[in-house]
Amino acid sequence: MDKHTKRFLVLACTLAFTFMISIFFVGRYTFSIFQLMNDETALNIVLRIRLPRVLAAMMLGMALSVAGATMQSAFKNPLVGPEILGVSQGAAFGAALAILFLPGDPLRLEHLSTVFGLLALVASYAISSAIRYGGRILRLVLAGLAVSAMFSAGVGVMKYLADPFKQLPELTFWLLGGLSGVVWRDILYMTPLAATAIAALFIIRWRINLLTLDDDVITSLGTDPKRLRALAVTLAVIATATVTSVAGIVGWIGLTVPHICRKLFGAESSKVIPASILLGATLMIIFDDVARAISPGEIPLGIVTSFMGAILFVFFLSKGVSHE
Amino acid sequence: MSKINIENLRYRYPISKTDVLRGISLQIPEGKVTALLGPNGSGKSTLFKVLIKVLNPYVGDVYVNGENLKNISVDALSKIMAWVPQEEDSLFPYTVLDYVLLGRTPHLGFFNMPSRKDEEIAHNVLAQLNLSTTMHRKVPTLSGGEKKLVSIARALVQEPDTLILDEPTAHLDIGNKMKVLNIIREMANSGRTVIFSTHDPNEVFLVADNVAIMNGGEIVSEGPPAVAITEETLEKVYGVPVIVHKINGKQVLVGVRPESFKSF
Repeated sequence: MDKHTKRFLVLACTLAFTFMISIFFVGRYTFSIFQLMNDETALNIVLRIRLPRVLAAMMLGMALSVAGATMQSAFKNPLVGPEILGVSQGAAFGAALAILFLPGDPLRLEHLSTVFGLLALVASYAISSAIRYGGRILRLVLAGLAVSAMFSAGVGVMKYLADPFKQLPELTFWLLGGLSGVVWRDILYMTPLAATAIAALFIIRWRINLLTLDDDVITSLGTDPKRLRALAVTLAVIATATVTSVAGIVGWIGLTVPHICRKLFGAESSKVIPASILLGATLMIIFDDVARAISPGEIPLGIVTSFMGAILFVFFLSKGVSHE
Repeated sequence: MSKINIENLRYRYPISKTDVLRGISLQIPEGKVTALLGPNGSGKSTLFKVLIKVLNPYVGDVYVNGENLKNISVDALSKIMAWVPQEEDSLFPYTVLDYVLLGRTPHLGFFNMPSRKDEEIAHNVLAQLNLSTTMHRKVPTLSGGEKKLVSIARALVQEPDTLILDEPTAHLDIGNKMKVLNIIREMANSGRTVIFSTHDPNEVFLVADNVAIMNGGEIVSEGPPAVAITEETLEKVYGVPVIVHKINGKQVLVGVRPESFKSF
């Protein structure tokens, strides 16, 4: 067995282990299998509260990490994250609209947030075709920056208009990111879209390597770089927008996890993508455990991921031999 | 028999007001080395990019194996023609083997990954270019010469019958230059059609069967190097007085005349 296969096995086992531990032991109560068989309350807590929450964390980690790995290849830049095309701010704007104008309707926030996240992608592409500066990729990055800024201004307006006692706290907590209050309905909403996008990226994982080459080289290898990039980016955005609509803004995972995976498995995306899926899921479950269990109250997940993500980022980038 | 037939080709970049290629007609023979010689900015790279279908649309016609390039898809073209760019850089630390395997793309289905057979092809090409020992090294850690060879290896892994190299010896020391020129010769000897560009006439004398001298988007002279490269042509194209030395009756070395240095 080569070292990469071993590492994959270790990652997969860690994920399974973390998943089980988080369901049975992390939280205000710990349960044994025996208890679950006899105690209906315990079973209820595990099935109705913890299981959907841990599944949501898993899906969130997978989606953000695989989207981050894809975006880094698509933009030929290891320093971009899944939010590069204004998706997070778009999703935030959609969420803010829902909180202010459509209160009470179940899933209204998720729907609007996903739609606006995807709109950010469309807007970025539309604006990039009007920009007359730099190459294709730079134009897309610049357009993404502009779209992000516009939606961010929109979120500011919503905050300003929000009722300070009810709507503003809800919006603020959404923006901090978190999975408290996630129920099965949310899982059923986000799983089909996010899982499809993740699976599609997994299937084309080797092709994603091509995006890191010069566009002219990609053409000379018989592939249309614009189409391949649009496909990869759209799948990444679908994954990101869907999970963001449920979890809010959860930063740094999408940037950090692919980096760690490249340190462990090399740059080849047919390894980086599955590794990002496994490691992203594991780390997000652990971070969500920290968010819900470290204090009697709950720390917003976005704070934990930014803090831990940044520490891991610096740790892994300063470790080992630089290739430059 | 000519492999590639270029007829009155004109190309203009979008927004630009002037043609970069101004009526190029050229026949590239099969199984030979053809050099495009010319100063920087003479249109050599542009011509190559038209040939690999990166630049569209153009005026005029290009025929590859008798078929109009306009009717050949990039996918089909990539199976018969490979291109080595002048420079490429990746921020991603691929191993040499993984990087070279990307050259198998034209032969793989969209959802497929390289098989054992593809890896075998990559191994063989790396061995052929004496790169086997660097196989597991990361591309960004390689020297300039090694990086160039790795780019050439990726193009060869494509198993093309025509190989296009854009200034393959630029920035290389003379040792590495000779390595690349030898590979070019070997490729032609094994039946491939090779086209490369350079601004150094000496390289053309060393390796090319035919040369087309380009200046300002036009071909000003073409034919076997000994015939096409003359002092007058070079002086006109490069704008400096030159000497073409003959050793044993063969033209082998071009030098700039000392009087072109103002301080002499």
